[in-house]
Amino acid sequence: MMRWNAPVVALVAAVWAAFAAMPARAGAAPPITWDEEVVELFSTLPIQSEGRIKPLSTYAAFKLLKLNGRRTYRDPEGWKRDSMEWLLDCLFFPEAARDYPVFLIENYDTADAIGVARDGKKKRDRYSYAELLPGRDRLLSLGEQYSGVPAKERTYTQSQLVNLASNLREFEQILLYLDFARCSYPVESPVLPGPIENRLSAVLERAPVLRVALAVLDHGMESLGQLLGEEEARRMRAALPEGIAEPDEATRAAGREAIRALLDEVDEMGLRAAGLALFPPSAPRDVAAEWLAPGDMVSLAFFSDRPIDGELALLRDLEDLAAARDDEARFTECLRRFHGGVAGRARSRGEYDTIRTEVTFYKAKFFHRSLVLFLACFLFVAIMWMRPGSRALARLAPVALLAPTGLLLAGIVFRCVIRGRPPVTTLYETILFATLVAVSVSLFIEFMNRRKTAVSVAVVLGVAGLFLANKYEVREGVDTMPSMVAVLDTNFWLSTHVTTIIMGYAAGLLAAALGHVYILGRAAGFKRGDEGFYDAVARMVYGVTCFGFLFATMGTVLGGIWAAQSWGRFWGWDPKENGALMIVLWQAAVLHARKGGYIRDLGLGASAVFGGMVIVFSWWGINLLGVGLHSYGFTSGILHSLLAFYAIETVVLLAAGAVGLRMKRCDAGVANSARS
Amino acid sequence: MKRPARKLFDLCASTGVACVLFLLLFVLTFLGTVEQVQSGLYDVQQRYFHSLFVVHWAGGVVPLPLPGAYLLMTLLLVNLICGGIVRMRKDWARAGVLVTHVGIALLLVGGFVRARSAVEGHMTLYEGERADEFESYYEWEMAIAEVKAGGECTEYAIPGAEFAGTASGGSMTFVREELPFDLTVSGYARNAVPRPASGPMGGGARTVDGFYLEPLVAVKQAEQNIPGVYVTVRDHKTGGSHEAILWGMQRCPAVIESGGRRWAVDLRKVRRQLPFTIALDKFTRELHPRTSIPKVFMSEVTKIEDGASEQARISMNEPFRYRGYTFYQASWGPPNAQPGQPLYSTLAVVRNPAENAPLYASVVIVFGLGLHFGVRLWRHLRTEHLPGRPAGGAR
Amino acid sequence: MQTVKRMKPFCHIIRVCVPALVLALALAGCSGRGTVRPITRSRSVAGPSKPVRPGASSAERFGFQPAAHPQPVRTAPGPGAGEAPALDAARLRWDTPEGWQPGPDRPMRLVTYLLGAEGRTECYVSVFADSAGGLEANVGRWYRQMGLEAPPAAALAELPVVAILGQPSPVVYIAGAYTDMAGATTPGYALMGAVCERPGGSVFVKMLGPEGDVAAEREHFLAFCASLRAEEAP
Repeated sequence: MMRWNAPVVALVAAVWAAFAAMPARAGAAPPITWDEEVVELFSTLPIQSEGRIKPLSTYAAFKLLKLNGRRTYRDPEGWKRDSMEWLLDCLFFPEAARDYPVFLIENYDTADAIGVARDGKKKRDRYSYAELLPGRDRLLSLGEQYSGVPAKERTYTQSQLVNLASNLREFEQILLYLDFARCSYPVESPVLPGPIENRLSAVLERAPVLRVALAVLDHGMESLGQLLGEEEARRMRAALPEGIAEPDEATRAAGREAIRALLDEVDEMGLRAAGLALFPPSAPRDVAAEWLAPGDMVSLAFFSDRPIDGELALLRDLEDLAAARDDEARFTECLRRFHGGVAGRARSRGEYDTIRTEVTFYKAKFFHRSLVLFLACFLFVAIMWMRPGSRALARLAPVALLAPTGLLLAGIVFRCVIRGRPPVTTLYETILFATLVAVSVSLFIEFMNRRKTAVSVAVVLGVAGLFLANKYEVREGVDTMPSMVAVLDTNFWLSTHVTTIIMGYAAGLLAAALGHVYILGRAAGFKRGDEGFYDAVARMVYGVTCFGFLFATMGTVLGGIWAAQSWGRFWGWDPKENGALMIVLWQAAVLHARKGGYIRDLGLGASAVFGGMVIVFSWWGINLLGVGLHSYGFTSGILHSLLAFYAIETVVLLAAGAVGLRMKRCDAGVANSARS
Repeated sequence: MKRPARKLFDLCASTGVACVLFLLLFVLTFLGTVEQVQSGLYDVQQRYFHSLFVVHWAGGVVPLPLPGAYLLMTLLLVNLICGGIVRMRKDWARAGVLVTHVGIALLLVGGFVRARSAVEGHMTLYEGERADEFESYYEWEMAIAEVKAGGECTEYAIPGAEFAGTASGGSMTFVREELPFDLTVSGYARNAVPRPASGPMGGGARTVDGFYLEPLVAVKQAEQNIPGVYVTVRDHKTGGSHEAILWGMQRCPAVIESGGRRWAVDLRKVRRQLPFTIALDKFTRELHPRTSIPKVFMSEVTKIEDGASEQARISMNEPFRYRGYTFYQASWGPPNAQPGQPLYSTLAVVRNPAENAPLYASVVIVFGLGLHFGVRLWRHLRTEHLPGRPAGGAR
Repeated sequence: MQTVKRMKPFCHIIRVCVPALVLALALAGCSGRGTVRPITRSRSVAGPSKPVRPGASSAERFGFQPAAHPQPVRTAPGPGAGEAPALDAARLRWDTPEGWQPGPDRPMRLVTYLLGAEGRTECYVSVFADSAGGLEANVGRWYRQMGLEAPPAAALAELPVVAILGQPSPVVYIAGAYTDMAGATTPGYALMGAVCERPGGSVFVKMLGPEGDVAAEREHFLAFCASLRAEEAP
């Protein structure tokens, strides 16, 4: 028993240290502070992005994650900002935010390629926008150039440059977004059809008049009647400035010049403010699905006849808000109005229903907390193994595990509610759901047989699954609730085929994990002589394999029926279909081989481990082939992790082989001694 | 005399054979999947899965002969019927497995029926157009039709598969009583382009009317290959002959004159008649707002038969079925059409007599597996919780 | 006993595969094909499927000379594709004709080759995600670059075609005086261009240089166009 203590103590210490390191280092206070209510209101502000309406906080979180490689901004001076506050800094205090080092660059070569100074920087370090600015043009042109290189053929630095260039552009869309509310428009000229208030919304309101004035300056007053009809022309004539009616050439030139200067400015500001579609159209959803950015309003005002008065009222609120940034009370008041206007209209369009749920979901950090609890359970289980005599610990362990499992389940349910979709629609969600299934099945087994094995495996799988999910989310850096492409837009098939196949994956992986217990336990001489233990593990492997086989087969056949529904063929030997078939075939072979007596417990364990390799190939490896119809979630850069996995599993299989040989020798030895 | 038959049956019914077949099919599926990176889906389907045997080139150099999926599945079906259905003990413990085996047999039989007799293709229509035939994706044929001033005529067709063998040399001659000539086909190339013999690369090739046929490397997207072939037409009466190159993308057919009559000979993708007409009324496509992610594709069509018409909508996941034919939303165009510009929609057309076999089979399989594992679990739980029994339990 | 059981699958392989192999070989041997075959398929149709032009030469049939009845250009879609696949320039592959030297990378171009006696002739491929203005606008622009009037739209339908990415793509050959972007005009130049419009994008192949070079490289150009192909999309 002593030999278990040292590693466990070390482990406890390590985990404790990790937790202790988690809270922020106490340091300087951030230069800008945001009122709690302000952050709350902005968090629940809806925005249309990537095809759906989401809270601004979600938008901010994934933007920062993509740039920065983590969800919070940590200033070199020691203070921290969450993503929502960071976005507010960028929008309202760009002069401060441009100095925040948020651009993660992975190597010196990338920085050198664009000629950015990197004194005092580590190899993998973060740069601010201001630091990147000298290399901006070079970066954008390199990014353009290398995006033409096929993703598979890019060097590491090239793909870094492509990402960095796109990150820079996205950051500029945020940083410059409110420039339209900060700049001054040349509206003072007496030849303009004025008076026009010095703000974009006012200029856009006057857009019809400006258009007419330009036409009159170019073609004379007579053109007005033809252009607008007599009634409208008379009204317009009244709106036009004095000088324009019978202008001399000099006045006309000055008028043209004034209008052009104004339009140039408006155009430039429109380009800068094209990123965040914050304005729900006043028309109902089925008429106008696209939300507007100020840039869109500029185009609509000058190049279309669609009335945008309702949208301009909201734009005016945003301008007021931007202007009030230094007056806290007024800022909050303006924000309340703006939020009320936007949320109210979104609500009337039926697009605000899930915003608050989503904010709650991200605030609750289900998966993060679940991971922390799984780690705690890991400790618990380690202690349980240290004290094999304690029945209480063994009884308590699976109960303790219910907490992280419940959190995981709650998180998944929340996602379903927000999206109105079944639990699995993206590659990211496959990880979450598979983890949930694997852990639940293990817990079920544990409650059935109380052998402490299943609960231990459950803990390991829970930690591994949630860790992977987090890794995947960080590496992709995009919203994990994307819009569904047309072929996937069917809740029926998503909930049947996808869900069952992932349950098959999960069970197969659980069987593989139990297989590891069997093989590694034998190899390490753990519980030597306790054949009951190995019998039980083998029976678990068998049972879980059966469970997995049931679901993998069901899922595969259902997938075929879906394919028959939407593509007209049940089976097309497409890579993803083949991957699923390989799982089914392997498990069928294993179950029949066991029935026929060709393999026994050790063979079953080894087969389950190999089955795990097949599942990982089908789940992740297929996507790396880069062919086929199912490449909805293309995963780049996971090749190395996969190779490492296969290397480790090969070692485990070799260990199984060694164990097999040893057991055979022992059997022979026993037989010999019995004979002699 | 009874023993060998019994032995053969035992072999057919053996679990070991089932394992070997599963493993072979597993290996084949894996290799066929990886091979798709090199060869494209269609070729792999034909070589690995719709075949009796395949030679896989491991690493491109080592030949590895394997049974094809067609053969393996046939053997699997035999094994399944012998061992999994006929010989299986009929009791409650095995009822689920038995039912499952029946379902899988049904699935395999459905697959065979499909492989033998299903036809598929596509129909591409602009809004307002109609058609009563559809075109194959991959299959080509040589079509010979008499050119008459109006009125119906008989068209004779030679499936491409019948003369594809001439790619490696030799020739094939095709005859038909009604035709006053025979056609000798040679030099087939699966992907080819005609080139003027005057060009720099024309040396040595067989030249017809100033052109020769240059074979190109077949592309992975098999439907993009454009075949070409040489034909020699020999008139039965005069004995005179006439040569021509046929190319899949030729603008007009080669014309043969014999005894004052004219025939048009064309090389084209196989066309199949529908017993009714489909008209495309409207095609709609929608993107998710402010993205280029497709949200909806939908074709509104009218089916016309004997003057009666019926309207239907075809969208992703919602095909239209009628008289054994199924129409799926497959593609659309032209790309980047301006608003108001007419669009075309491509409908995939499938006729598969065993269309519903997978559905029925899956119901049977799912029921069988559920029954089996349900019974197992129930028994397991009962033994596990019986007092006084050791937890190890007997297998 | 253990070993016997272990051997069992292996024996089965032999027992199953050998007879199957023999059977298959026998079948293959039996189905030796005769060189004369009857035509078995026939059906009743309203007439030949394509417009018939008696007396058309091969050059006309293959699109090397204007045909009187141009075929409407329409895409041959692949099966199973959910939607028109975007044309991804990064996936295009081709065969480099003999004597073509890779040229420097240029913006907007997928690849540039230098060819001809003095390497003054350029051939390059550009790929756009949209129609980039379409056939008429681009061919018109080429004509104007060569100092000529743009041809009427109707004439475009009569252009010869080459197959690019499975798409009949019109080819133009224009000889004239080339005016470059700086405004300098060089007489005795020729431009050969092919326009491939397909769902999800368009491909332009353009060869420009002294007339002698361009004429001499004509066949290489056509072979190059025909060799363009797309790797399967992920």
